[in-house]
Amino acid sequence: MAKIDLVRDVLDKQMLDRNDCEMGRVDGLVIEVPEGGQPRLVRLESGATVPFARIGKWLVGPVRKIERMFGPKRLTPVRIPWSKVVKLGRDVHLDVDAEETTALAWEKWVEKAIIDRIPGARGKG
Amino acid sequence: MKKYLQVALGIITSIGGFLEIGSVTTSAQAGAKFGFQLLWPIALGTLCLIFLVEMSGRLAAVSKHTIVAAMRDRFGFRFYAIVLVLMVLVTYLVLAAEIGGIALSLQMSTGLGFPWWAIPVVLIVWLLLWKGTFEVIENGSSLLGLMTVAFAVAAWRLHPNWSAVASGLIPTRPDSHAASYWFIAVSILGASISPYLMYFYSSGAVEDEWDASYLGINRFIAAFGMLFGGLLAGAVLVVAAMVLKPRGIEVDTFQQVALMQSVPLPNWGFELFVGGMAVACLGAALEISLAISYLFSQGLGWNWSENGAPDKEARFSVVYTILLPLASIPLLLGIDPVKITILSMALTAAVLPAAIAPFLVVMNDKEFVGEHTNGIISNTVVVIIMLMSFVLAVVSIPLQYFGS
Repeated sequence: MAKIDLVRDVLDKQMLDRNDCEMGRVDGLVIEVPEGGQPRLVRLESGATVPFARIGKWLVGPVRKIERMFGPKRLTPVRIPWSKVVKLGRDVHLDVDAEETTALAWEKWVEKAIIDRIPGARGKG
Repeated sequence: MKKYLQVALGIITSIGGFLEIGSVTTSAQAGAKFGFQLLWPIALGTLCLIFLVEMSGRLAAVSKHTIVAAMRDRFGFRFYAIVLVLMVLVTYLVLAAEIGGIALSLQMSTGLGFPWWAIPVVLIVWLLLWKGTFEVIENGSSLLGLMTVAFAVAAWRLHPNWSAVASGLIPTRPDSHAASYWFIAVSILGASISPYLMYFYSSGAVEDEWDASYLGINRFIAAFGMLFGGLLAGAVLVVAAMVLKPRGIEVDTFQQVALMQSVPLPNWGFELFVGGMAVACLGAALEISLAISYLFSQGLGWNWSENGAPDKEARFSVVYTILLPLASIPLLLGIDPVKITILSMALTAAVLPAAIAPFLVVMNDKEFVGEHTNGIISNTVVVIIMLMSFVLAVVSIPLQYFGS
């Protein structure tokens, strides 16, 4: 049985989807404790208010407000079940498609709301 | 063959990238006020930068990760958040200073005041980032930045007493004006050891897909590029010491630095200075804007690349797109870029431990760099110079701004 040091080797690492697309960092780990049973690692969380809650719960309110005012209005963090983790190394490789999660919600919102309105956003050189 | 070309370009980049408004202003101030006596911070800063740049490239080549990514990996979100806030605040001021440097150069060549140039300059910097690729930015601005070699020619032509110059390499205490002596020393250290340069360099190495076969080249570029850059900063100091100090002129405007060049180089010194500074500050402004975009993207796990079109790297591109207009505000308000420069360089020295300490930890971690961990010399040199800069900064900044 492999031993994993969760905080050292999983938390804060870069998450990559099955096409090696960057999809945020592991901002939180969720463990479920069934009544009378053993704790069980269920999922990774990323984005939204999750990293800010690590600094202080008081930050959650303002962050939520800002996201509601400007952002993609999808406040749920990215939730990846532990079963989708395929490889742990310097990065966390996941068997998911970033496009099918909310990981790129901000990226798409910024692209639509700001970048696409500026001339010359497509193509380089 | 391609690699040799890269070495050449890398060295040119470093020469062109080293000198900008920070190094030029602080070196000129030092020379004008203290003669050759403050050459030692340039030497120490350059030595420290050589080690740091080499480490940045080594980390990228071996681990395929940048400094920022490795810092978040090992030190977590909370520490990253502190570094992010500190670096964004300080680097924002440095960026304003560089844009100010371009604006001042334009003011000197046209006579139209620098606040008028703030917005056009920001637009040009932004456009180059928006449409240019990493290579265009790296190579274009640095080739033109070679104009700053004029400082070396100027220093040579003045025939300084080389043994007097060499004695400035040894740290000594000043006879008078102690507060300003140490403050200028700190500003020089901050101007030489630029964290943004490390972020930029390591991200560039990842963008160029370096691997372990680049380690030798990396060492070469870091050593020679930074050495030449440091020599140019030293040349500025020598020229100031020989032209301005005897006349009792202290540097508080960019104009004085430009005019000092026309003593050893009467025909084209002024023009070369104006052109060279405009390009050098442009190069620095590009590197700083990208460094901040890298800092956000890599720490938060976004997709990032300066080679991708803005619509493919939306969050990465939006960071510099928001940052650049903000950096024009101090200039629009008419705040003197030279004042911003001096403050921002000293503050850079004060935040060095936050940027460098986690980096050093990672560079000693086999999980990141395998067998290529730091040696005892690089660890010791960087720790000593970093701590010295920090202590000097914490003591001398309050003295300079709030002291009698």
